[in-house]
Amino acid sequence: MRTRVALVATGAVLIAYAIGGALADDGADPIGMAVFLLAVLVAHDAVWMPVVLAIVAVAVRVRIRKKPRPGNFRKKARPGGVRKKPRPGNFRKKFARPVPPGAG
Amino acid sequence: MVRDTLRALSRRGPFRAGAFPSRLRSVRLTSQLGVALGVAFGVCFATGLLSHLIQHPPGWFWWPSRPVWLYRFTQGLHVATGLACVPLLGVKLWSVYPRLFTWPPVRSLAHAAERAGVAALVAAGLFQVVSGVLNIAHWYAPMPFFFTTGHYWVAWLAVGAILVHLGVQLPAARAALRRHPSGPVDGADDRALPAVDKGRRALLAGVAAAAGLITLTTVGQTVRPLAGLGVLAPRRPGEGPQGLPVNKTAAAAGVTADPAYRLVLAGPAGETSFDLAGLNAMPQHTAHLAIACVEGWSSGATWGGVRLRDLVALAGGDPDRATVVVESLQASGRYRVSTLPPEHVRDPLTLIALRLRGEVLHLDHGYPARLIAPNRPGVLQTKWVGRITVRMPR
Repeated sequence: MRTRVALVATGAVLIAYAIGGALADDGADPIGMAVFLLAVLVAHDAVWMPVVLAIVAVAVRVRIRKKPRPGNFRKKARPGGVRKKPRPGNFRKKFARPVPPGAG
Repeated sequence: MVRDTLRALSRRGPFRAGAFPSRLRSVRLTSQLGVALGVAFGVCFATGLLSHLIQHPPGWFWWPSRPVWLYRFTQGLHVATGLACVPLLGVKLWSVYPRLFTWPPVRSLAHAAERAGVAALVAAGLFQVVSGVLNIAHWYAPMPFFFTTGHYWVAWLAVGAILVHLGVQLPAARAALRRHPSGPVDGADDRALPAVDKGRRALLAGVAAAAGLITLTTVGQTVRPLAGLGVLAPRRPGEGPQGLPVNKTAAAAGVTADPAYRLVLAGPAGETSFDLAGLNAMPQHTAHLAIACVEGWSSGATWGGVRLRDLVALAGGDPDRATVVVESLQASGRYRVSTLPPEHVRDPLTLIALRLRGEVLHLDHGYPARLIAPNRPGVLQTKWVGRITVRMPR
């Protein structure tokens, strides 16, 4: 617990030093810095990450559609060369499976 | 009414349960990435602080002139580590992104403070990485502040926010890092564990590979044998006039070649001046030294010219104790003037260079005369030297 308190207290002092230093430094532009801090935060959380997640989600969905399921291939030919019609349920089951790691 | 609206909101979009279905996210993954990112930020902070102290030395600070490669190494490490942070920070933020949509957004004052701390940490981390990349690309337009000053103060903010975050998350991170294999994540049953573990390891390997690839394709800007691989490096060691890169051209500095040039030398013996022929008539020396830029590139070359310590002696100063102020012919600019401490003044490798690779200096490299000293940032290697002032300690 002491370690945690020391870490938080030291961190708070350094944050205060950073803010005070930026405000007192004649060469710094605290408003410009604050604007850029906010801009990169919003750009990442509201634009970059949603776009990346959407691209990954679409890519995963396309991959699932294209990937043949092992159960769809018959290991033995049916007697008389009769093919079994694909059941409509087979297609839907693909999407009933758990989401693969990494999606979303 | 308001409560109903909020309840409805909590079930929509990223706020609904299962909005982020990836099973790769876990406290263990976040903690492992956090450790790597903490080490990388620590290296960046230490090397960046060192560079700042060399450029703005307080009274207590001392920086030697040897080994000649030390600053080249520390600043190359600073930029290489900063670039390796790009994939690390990206995946770390992805791993905790669902927490942004925690519902309710604020549970208590302590929770609000914690979330504000995390926002400061994320903003500062992104600020440092983005501004650093913009700086090495020489693209300053998107930054509404002077890069060096902003990067310096936000580095303190980032380190402070990291310590606060570490203090808050320490028990959870410790527990997650101790557990092996990884503990179950939300929505994953025991049978899913091996796949999750495998996926997490693959993800970490991917992040390491991305960081390695970025390093390999950029570090050639300072590590000469890897220059051929530096496809993403903004600067190549051998490119530029006389085979050396240039950051600030004579045109950008507003300097032109002046046939009536004279170097003014002031010191305890008074003030005198030399034309280029006079400087060339003095004992000439050569030194193989690198220009090590704060942006991470560096390139070595053989320089020829007059030893600064010889000029100090001519000005009536003691070369072993004197401090020298070197001024450029450029009319303005933050790096128009630089000060050399006694360690660099007395070093026989410190030259007022007149030649580069045996040829007269190119105007962009500081013709007619420039400073070149060992183990100093490139911005302190003043070009187009017009005045040298020798100061003795009282």
